[in-house]
Amino acid sequence: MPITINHLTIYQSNHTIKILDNIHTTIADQQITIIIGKTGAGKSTLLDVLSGLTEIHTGDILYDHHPLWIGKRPNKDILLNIGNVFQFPEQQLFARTVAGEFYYSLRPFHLEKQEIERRIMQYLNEIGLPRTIAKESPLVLSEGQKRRVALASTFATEPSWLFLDEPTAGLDSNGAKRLTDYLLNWKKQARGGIVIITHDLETFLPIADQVMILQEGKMAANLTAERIYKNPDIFTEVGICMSDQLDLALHVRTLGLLVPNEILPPKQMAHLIHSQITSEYVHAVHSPKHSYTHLTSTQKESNQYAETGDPAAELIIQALDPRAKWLIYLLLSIGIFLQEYWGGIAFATVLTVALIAFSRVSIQIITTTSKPFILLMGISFLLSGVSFGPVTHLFHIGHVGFSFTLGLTTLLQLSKVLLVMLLGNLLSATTSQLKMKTSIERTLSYLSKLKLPIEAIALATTLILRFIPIIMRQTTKFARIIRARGKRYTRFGTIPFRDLPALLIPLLLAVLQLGSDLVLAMEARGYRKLGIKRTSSDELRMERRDYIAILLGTFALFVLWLIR
Amino acid sequence: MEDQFVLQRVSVAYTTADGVKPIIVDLDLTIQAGELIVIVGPNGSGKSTLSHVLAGLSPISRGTLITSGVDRDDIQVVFQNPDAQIVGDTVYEDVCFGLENHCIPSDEMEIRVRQALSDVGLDHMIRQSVETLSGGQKQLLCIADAIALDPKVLIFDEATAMLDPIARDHILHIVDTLNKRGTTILWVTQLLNEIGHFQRILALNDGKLIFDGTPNVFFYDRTEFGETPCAQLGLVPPYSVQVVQYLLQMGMQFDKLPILMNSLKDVITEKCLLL
Repeated sequence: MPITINHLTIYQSNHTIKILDNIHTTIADQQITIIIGKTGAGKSTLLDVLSGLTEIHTGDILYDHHPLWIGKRPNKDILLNIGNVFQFPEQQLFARTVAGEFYYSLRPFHLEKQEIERRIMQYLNEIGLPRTIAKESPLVLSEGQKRRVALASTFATEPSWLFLDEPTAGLDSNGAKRLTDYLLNWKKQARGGIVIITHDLETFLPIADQVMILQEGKMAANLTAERIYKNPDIFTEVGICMSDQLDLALHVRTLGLLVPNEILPPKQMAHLIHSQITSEYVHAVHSPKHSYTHLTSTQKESNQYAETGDPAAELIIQALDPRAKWLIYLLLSIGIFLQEYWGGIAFATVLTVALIAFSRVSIQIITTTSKPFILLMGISFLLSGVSFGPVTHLFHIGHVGFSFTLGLTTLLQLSKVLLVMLLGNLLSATTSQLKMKTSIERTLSYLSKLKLPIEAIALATTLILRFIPIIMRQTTKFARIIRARGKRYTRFGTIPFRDLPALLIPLLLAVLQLGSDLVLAMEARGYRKLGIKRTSSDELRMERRDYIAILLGTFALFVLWLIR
Repeated sequence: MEDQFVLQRVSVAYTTADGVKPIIVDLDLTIQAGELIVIVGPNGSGKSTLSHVLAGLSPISRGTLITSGVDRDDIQVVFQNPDAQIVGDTVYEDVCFGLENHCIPSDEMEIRVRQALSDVGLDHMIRQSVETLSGGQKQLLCIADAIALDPKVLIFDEATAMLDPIARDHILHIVDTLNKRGTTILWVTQLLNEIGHFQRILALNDGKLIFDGTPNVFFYDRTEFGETPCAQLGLVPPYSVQVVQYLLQMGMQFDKLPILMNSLKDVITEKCLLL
């Protein structure tokens, strides 16, 4: 059953940038298709879409003429025929035993216990692990064994289609060889095919039937492996490295030697070179037609970023001393909490909005975290307005009425909190974490005389802020794996309660790993002991503009006090 | 050349629930200033631990490590995962973090940061937020962090394992330039096709140093059993090396045995021109 992709376009969450742009192709069964392209070309997204893990914006995907999506859900029968192997699959293990990993992956298939046990034995055997390992905890295995367990648990679902994302990353050359042998064998028996995302052309080009090259979300080329030989320029055009085999074959051809259109094993290649050079077969030496030097990543990206220049340097709010900003924030907050009437709130709102506009920080960044609070305000407004008893209100049903006055009183109080919250967001958006850390250290330095570990607190704060986006990325990654293994479609960002261990255990392990790597790296970077003498890149010095800003802040507090 | 590191019968072992687990066993090794060394070995062979020992990040259980002419601050390390070593919010701040730890005077910092960033080609991104960098650029930043401190020894602990081939080539190129300036380089890797960029290989297996020599010997010298040291380790050499090995078997002569694909291409071109 082939996969048909019809005019597929996927947008980024902001709905303007296309991650995949009008992909229109067929992926044949009984074949190994490899998808190559630079980092960020949309390869992983394409595999996610094929796996039903990402919603389709325009276009559609058909498995053997059956659409992958039925309404708002992916077709479960198709999902059950897809096996995913994610990048570094050894990180996804969580169960108490190796057998538990198989039970988890096989749960959506509702198999008899006997059948599950049979498959565990069969696939452990196929992947080269002893049967006794089934009772062991996956977490005590070596990294190589862990990866094999993860692979076997996917293979045991006996899917028609196998989708693999960078399966040889972190494997040594022997491990890679074992994997390709297994895949070639698997292809023979499969009802579907194999799709592999990879940078490792040395390993996968020789076994590939079809090669798809993605560039900036577009299908730059879709060729059979033989055709790749005839179109070597395509690699240069999209800026990816050619495989060594291909590189040598093309070079030898430009020298005038005869080279067949296939990937040659080293022995044949040596034989070909040897026989032709020694037999004086070569008539003429052509100067190489193609130059295979690539733009290095930085050269390319330097063009992209050259325009950005030094934007932060010119902005005043960003440049202010963080201590001045803290103080102004405090002054304004007091001023806002003094307000008793809507007029004052309106003035404070204007002030806040003006500050945000002046800072030129994107309004989205400021408001994102406040959205739930705005919702809470709405609910509180409605709840506090509800009153029971004799009807005196405009809106009522029987003895239950709604009073705007009461509701508005609540809203007024909450509006003050919202404004303070927005200003807080502005403070953190315009102050870098390291500056924040320095200012905490300086401002609270006198506390260290009381033996309080101020430096540690400041550094910990910085690191927590720094690691939140990294942990968020890990969470998204593991949630995606759970959806693929569970074969159940859940709204993005939610996972069923019973899948929680499968998310939390790998996430916890990943965070612990990150922590332990961090400790080592901090030591290596010279941060060995708290309290050692350090210099500062950013000598915090209150300048004229800081004092002016504080003066303006005080004035604003004065005005707010007047109009309260 | 002076001996920068001398290791004598160095062992490293950890105590685990199952007893003492040896990581490095009775290792003897001398490293001179300015060497360009690659450390290879399968997973769990102790290659990372060896690099940590040299960096002063891992304690030694037995034996002695003598360093001369370098103290701990002269040795910098770039690890595999850039996310676990970047502390700053912007590129500029992150390079400064290391400088602050090493008490570099504030007025010297900006010049040093700019120089280090320009060495790795990130100077145009100095004010950029770290979150906007690609994986390869983050790793370049980690290298800039290290070279801003003007180290005598630079250790890369599988620094390219998570990168694509182009980013990897770029970093290897920078490493070569740094070595030409006199920096001692220790490069830990799992990828055998990187070996050709180095002058000396240390191969580890089960915590023991089982090969110490040039890449040429590693790939092309046959022992009494007719195997190369590489094959004895059970490792598959890169494609270019395999082709040359077969060419040698077929009787082809080489003035200098090529290892990297580009050198092999040059050799073949030369041979064609001679005809």
